Amino acid sequence: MILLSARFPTPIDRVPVVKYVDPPGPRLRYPAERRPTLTLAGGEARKISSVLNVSEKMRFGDFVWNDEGVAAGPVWARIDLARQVISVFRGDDEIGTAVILYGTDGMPTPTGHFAVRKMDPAYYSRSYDAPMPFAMFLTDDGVAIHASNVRSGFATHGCIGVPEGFARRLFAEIKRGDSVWVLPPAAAPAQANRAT
Amino acid sequence: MKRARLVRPRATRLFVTRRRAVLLSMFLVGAAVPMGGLLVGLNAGQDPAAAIAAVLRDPLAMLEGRSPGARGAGAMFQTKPAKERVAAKVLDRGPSDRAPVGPKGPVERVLPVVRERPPEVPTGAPLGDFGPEPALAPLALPPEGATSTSSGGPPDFPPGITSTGGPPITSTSTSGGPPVNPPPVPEPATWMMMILGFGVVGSAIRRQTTIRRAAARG
Repeated sequence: MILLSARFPTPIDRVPVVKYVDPPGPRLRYPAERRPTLTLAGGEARKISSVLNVSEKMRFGDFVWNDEGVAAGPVWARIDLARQVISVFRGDDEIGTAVILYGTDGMPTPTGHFAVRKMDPAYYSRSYDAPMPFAMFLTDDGVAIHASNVRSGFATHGCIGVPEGFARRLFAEIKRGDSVWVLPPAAAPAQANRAT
Repeated sequence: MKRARLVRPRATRLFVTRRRAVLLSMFLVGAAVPMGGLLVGLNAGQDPAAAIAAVLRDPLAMLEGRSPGARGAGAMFQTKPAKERVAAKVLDRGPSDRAPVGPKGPVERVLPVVRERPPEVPTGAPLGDFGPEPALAPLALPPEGATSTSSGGPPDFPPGITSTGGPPITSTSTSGGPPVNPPPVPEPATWMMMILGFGVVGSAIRRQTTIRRAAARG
């Protein structure tokens, strides 16, 4: 399992430090006939084949990225505001996850199904006078997934803040038009998705 | 451990056939111990093998296990503290405010015009040439015996001094004595004034920070 921290950013071309390896491996695969359905926003759902095996609670600033052995496919992301976690999938396999920051109660993050509209690797917000590297815009009014200082007790003005290393990898992976589902913070689906 | 080593390389294909589903159950038991960290936080009091099965059945259980939890209320909902944000804002007031471009270190500066201070005393004039010394007028002393008995003059003057010869001599301590140095320890009133001033400055800074934080929050 690859557990990286934003405090020690690793260049994307270098082999990341393998912090620990869980006995089942870095990935939990589901049998082909029992693939579970992952609930998305707006009543949508997708069947998945595998998830990353993260065996402990992630701290703020941590992320996991592992796409070894995952075939090419459409990239999509599921952002769970209630759990403060983003999961990035390629095809049916999860390739990355991180702890996120999201909007305050006064400036909440919009929820629903979005498509990546505009991408800027070195965006600088004039509204907030702050750099927002690796910005992947979800709406026309400036809500984006971007690199941020993910720390406990902090929030954004509506954007999705992810660690910089994770943002760099996601930026290299995702394209314009790819789907992003943002699940609401309070009414997150709590019911179990039974395998079909 | 032997069981886990046997299963691990085939983990990706475990679920393909029914025969290997038997291996899955073995793998679940073997993996239950190392995954205890997740499972304890995930489902306290539940059988680890059952919890792993729950993760495999429901991906949301895995998301629940890796999540730091829901965001607590009352946190400082800012991406940056107010002070950092304000300090990061650099004001550029134009070319004069920018740092000069050039060699570092002390630079010799030559004044365009050399000015010389004129001498305070003209060198050519003779010293002490102030003209003839003015003659002092003799003191008009009243005759003896005509002082305190008269009704028109002020009665409090000591004998021999009248009020008509010039300004009255009032006190010798302010005008005549050596200059009094201030004491090295300030007076209590000065102390109080300084403490009060520090208090005013501190309260102003506190008030400014509060206003700025409230503005940044709202």
